Amino acid sequence: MQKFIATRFFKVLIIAAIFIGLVFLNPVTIFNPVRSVFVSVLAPFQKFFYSFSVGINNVKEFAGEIGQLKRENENLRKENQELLAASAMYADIKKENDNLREQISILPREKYDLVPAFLVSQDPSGTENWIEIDKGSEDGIAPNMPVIISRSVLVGKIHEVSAKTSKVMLLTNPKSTLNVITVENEAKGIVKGEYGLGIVLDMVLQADSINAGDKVVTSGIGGEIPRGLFVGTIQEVHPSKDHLFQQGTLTAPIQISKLQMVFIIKGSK
Amino acid sequence: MRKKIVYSFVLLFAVIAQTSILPVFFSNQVLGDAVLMAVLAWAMLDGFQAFIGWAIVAGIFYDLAAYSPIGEHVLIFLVVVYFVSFFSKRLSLNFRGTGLFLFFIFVIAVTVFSEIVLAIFAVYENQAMYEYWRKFGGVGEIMLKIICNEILFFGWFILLKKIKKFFKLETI
Repeated sequence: MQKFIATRFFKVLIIAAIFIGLVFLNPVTIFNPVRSVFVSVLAPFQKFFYSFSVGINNVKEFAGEIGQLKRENENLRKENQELLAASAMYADIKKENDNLREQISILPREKYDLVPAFLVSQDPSGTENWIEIDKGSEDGIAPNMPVIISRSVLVGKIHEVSAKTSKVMLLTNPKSTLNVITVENEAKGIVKGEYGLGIVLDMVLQADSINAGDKVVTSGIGGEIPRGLFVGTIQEVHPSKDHLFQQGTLTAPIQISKLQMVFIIKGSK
Repeated sequence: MRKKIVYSFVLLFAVIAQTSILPVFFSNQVLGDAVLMAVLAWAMLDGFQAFIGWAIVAGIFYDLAAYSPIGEHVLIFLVVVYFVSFFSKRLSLNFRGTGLFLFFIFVIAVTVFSEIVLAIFAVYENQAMYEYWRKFGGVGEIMLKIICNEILFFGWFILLKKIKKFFKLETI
């Protein structure tokens, strides 16, 4: 017996048993302060390497796309002319929209109290479940605050907060659920993340009309996330397995690997 | 002291590479496991006694940075170091002939083992059995991961050898 206790195998077994216990007990109250300190120390270095990597990645993609850029430039010029005409028309619609928003008490998008934050790291499993940002409780960040880009495109919501950094649960995270509506027909549903498969629109009533190309925005139900934040565009529609609801796969408007900066909605102004 | 500083920096760099560099280049794709491969290469260079403590530190660093429960990666690294020491005593590990072939086999075994353990923890965390296969991924994904890990392993092995030589750290 004493011979066995002195073996390398026994030592490994004991240490493994301790750490298995820690994984299953997961005493977050003990480890969260340690994690908070660790990620705060690591965050500046992660931020540097993250920005550096995004820069290299952009250069790499740019070099590969130079030929394509010429054609795209030509197309964009034509598109620009069309958009100029359209923008004149939308100016009028915007005025009408502002009036309507005021009437149904939806906040105008410019009136969010936004906190800018830089990305410092991402989910190392490569499934885009979460990102880490360089703003934390010291900047007034709290769990469940929505995280957006380009003023109204929803990225996810704050999941864990430490003093100087926060973990953002992305919409693609399987644990993420969100109440949404379609812009075109106001069909209500729930958006859920799928492991490596993107975002799925679910629980849409059969009576509601949803089509490929419809835009999906947050419904504001629940109060945590304001109404009107853009989530994605429906790519395809199909019935759920039990045929009680309709489902749709969504195309997300953002590419996480190209993100360097996001905004956290702290509240309304 | 110099050894502690150098090892800590290299471990932290491996964690940063895994969380802030690799995901940018391989977004939503199969990612190699930089920290795991660093630990494997290091264990081969240093041996069980000299590296077991560092493997635990690497696991804790990685778990803290990856927001996973403390112990997940410690457990994996611990088994990897033991596994390496068990076989390196019995087999000749070098960059030639069968030694090279064994390196390939080690990387495959360690990658599959790591995926199995992480998938088991995902089942426990989400309390759902289907999470196992979701987390584990398909054969294609595992194959790609193995290829990425082979590249990372040889990269780390050469880099760590050079670091040890440059800083005049003792080698086996």
